[in-house]
Parts: sequence; C-alpha cells; structure tokens
Amino acid sequence: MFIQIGTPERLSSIGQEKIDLKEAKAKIEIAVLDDNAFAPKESLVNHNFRIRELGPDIRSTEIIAPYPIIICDVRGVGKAFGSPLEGAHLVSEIRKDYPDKYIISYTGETYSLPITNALASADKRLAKDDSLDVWIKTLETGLNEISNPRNRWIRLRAALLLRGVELHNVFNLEQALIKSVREKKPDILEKKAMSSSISAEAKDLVVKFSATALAALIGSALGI
Amino acid sequence: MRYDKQNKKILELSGKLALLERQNAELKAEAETTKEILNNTLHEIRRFSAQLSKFCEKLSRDTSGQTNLNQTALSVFYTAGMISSRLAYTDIELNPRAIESQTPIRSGIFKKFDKAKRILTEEAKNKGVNVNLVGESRTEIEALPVFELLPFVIIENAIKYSPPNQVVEIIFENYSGKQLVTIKSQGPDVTKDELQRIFEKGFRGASARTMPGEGLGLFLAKRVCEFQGISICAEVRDGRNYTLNGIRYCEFLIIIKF
Repeated sequence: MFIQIGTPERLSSIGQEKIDLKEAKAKIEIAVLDDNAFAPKESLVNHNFRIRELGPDIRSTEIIAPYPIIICDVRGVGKAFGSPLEGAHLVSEIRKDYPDKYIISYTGETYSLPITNALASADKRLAKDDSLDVWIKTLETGLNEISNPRNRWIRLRAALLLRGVELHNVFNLEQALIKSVREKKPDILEKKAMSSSISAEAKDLVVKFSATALAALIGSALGI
Repeated sequence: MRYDKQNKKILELSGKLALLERQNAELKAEAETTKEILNNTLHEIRRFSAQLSKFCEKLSRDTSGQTNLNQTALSVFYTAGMISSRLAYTDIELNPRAIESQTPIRSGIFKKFDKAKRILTEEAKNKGVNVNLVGESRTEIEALPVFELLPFVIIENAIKYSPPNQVVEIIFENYSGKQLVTIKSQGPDVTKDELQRIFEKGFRGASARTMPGEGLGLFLAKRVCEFQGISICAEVRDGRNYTLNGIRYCEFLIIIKF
C-alpha cells in the first residue's frame, strides 16, 4: 500500500499549443541516411525544410541523437551493424534507443514482405520515388508530432511500459515531465529518472530523452 | 508376394522422386534468382524515376517563361510520376499489404484527368483524336499514388481504340451529391455479354481482337477503383453503331462515380 498526497497533473495540460509549421521547418534539422544522394533534397529545401545528409556509414545510433526526424534508406545503409536487413535493421535499432523520434524509412523494394515486416518500427514507409507531395505531407506530419512534448512522451511512455517499467514509476516520471515542461527545466525529469527504481536501460532512455528531445523542445520554447 | 516386381517399382519411384526433388531444388533456386533480379530492377527503376522527377522539376522551374519547353518538361515530369504510380500498383500486386504504406494525398479529380490528358497529348495528336475536358469539378479525394493510373489508362484506352479524327470527351458532372466522370469515346462494338466481362484481365471483345492491345487497361482501372473505394462501370449507347474499315464501332462510355 502507498499513499500519494496531492492532485496529479494531467498530461493533457501540456503540448496544447498550436505548432507554427514555418518556425518548426526553420528550426528542426532532418537527418538523411542514404548511400546515394537524396533525390528530393533540393525540392524539399525549396520548401524550406532543413535537410542534413549524414551518409550511409553509421556506426552508432548516437550520431542521430540531435535529429528528431530521421529519413533512412534500406539498401547500403548501416552495414556496420552487420545485419542483412541493413537500413531496416538500423531503423529498429534507432527505435530501440530513441522511441520518441519520428522515423521515415524509404526503399525501392516497397513490396518486399520481409522488408515491410522489418520496417514495422518506422513511423512511415515511403517509396524511393514517392512524389514531392507525399514527402512534404510526411515531413509536416513528423514536424507536428515531434514538436509536441506530450506526443513525444507518449511514444517514450509506450516504450517504457513495453520494457516492463511499473505503472507507478511511469506515472511519477510523467509528473516529472509535466513539471519539466511547465518550469522549462529538462533536468527535473532527468533527476527523477536517476532516482527511480527502474532498470538501467529504462533510465538510459529517459535520460537521453531529457537531454536531447526535452532540452531541445524547452530550448525552442525559450527561443534558444 | 512378388518381391522382385515390388522392389523394381520402388526403385523406379525412388528414381522419379529423386528427379522431382532435384527439379524442385532447381526451380527454387531459379525463383530466388528471379526474385533477386526483380528486387534489383525495381530498386533501380525507383531510384532513376526519383532522379528523373528531380531533374524535370528543376527544368520546369527554370523554363517557366518558355511555354513549349516548359510544357515538355512538365510532360516528362508527369510521365515520371506515372512510372511511380505503375510501380505502386505492382507493389500491391506482389504484396497486398503494400497499400498500407502508401500515403494518400488530397488531390483534385479534374487536375488528375487534365494531367493524364497532357501526358497523352502526343498520342492523341498522332491519331488526330481530340481529348476534351467538359465541365468543371472542384471535388477532391484522398488519392493513393496508384490513383494516377486510373485517368491515364482510361484516356489512353479511349484514344487507342478510337477511329482517327474523333473526339474523346471527359465529362464532369454532379449527380445526387456525387461526382461523376464520364469518358465518352468511339470504340469497337461491345455486345451485352462482352460488357459483363470487360473489366476482366486479358478480356477483349470480338471487334477489338484485331487491334493491338492486351486487355489490361480496364482491368487495371477497375483494380485501382477498388483500392480507392470508387465505382466504375462501362456502357454502350445503342443505335449509334457504324462500320469503318471492317470494324464495327459504337459509342462507348466509362462512368466513374466518386
């Protein structure tokens, strides 16, 4: 039995602000992992998206930590991870380490059943030659999703529950998140995670989230 | 029991089984090779198609002041889009789950038909066929990438089967709150029985059998309509039949209801 004093804050009390898409486009950099030049880059830049090509040779998922939206090709990408599924495997590794990121995979083999299954952890699967309209719609959806701290927390929360973190611990972390956003101090959540009796893996996820996603969102809200 | 006869039979069957197993292994290896070739080809076509779209988009931007050049650049750009659309259809044929990952885009119906008409301008011109868009439509739908195929194959079919110097009309009407698009053209005569089967894969009416074609256009159109949840039917106008160069023609209508 436990007694908790006070009224819990509602998650719906944060992240209700309308996203300024123009501002989000100007501020948020989108990472592309591809062994070839990213064909829609120029057109997307003309539509004011910020695209950063990181190449195919990713040796650790840490390299994509600063980018909330990742576009990942399947063939010839992430070979260092040693999986025959190449980029599809990298997508699931990124998802494991950063559950809150918006991941777009794209491939020339959109029909392939093994690849479709392997890409289940991507938010969106696109074809290499999808139209510019499709790219714009997908990236705008991604910007809306990742600009909202509530949505990003919901993604992380699902990952914590999947890893067996107790509901009560998740609740306490959620309260810390709300306080972090309200007081514009990402370290409130980080400190809470460090002092929680949760697994090292879960702790790591929350700490990474505070240091990257939450810090960036709060920084953006403060105009930094 | 005649053991010799039975043993001989077992030996024969074992030999046949070994042969079948060998053939099976060969066929599996062949299927794997074919699959790999298909994977590589589709991958590369998509890559080139993306490049083509990129260059054409740039070209159409850079030539915005030069009408003819700009029109050609746009036609190439739209044609590259048709490659993508056709491949999107192939994806669904090979793996029906592929439709789940296709992103619908809010698009105007009129614009889609106009785009298909532009791609087919040369084909129509070579045959002396005029393709006219009649009426207006502001109806928009959540169009899957595969939708582009629908106006294209229907207008292409209408041009292909039309006698020279005729008109293909694409009529936009509102009926009981629904958007109707009717493609009216002159085509080889279709009997009532044939009309029932006109959307079947590979089916061709008796009057059309001497003309080039594979009976795929309307089949594709029907499938795309199924993916999009729209209805399509074919009609023939009675009493307007005539014979030209030994082929019996009629007024042929394709009606799409959105």
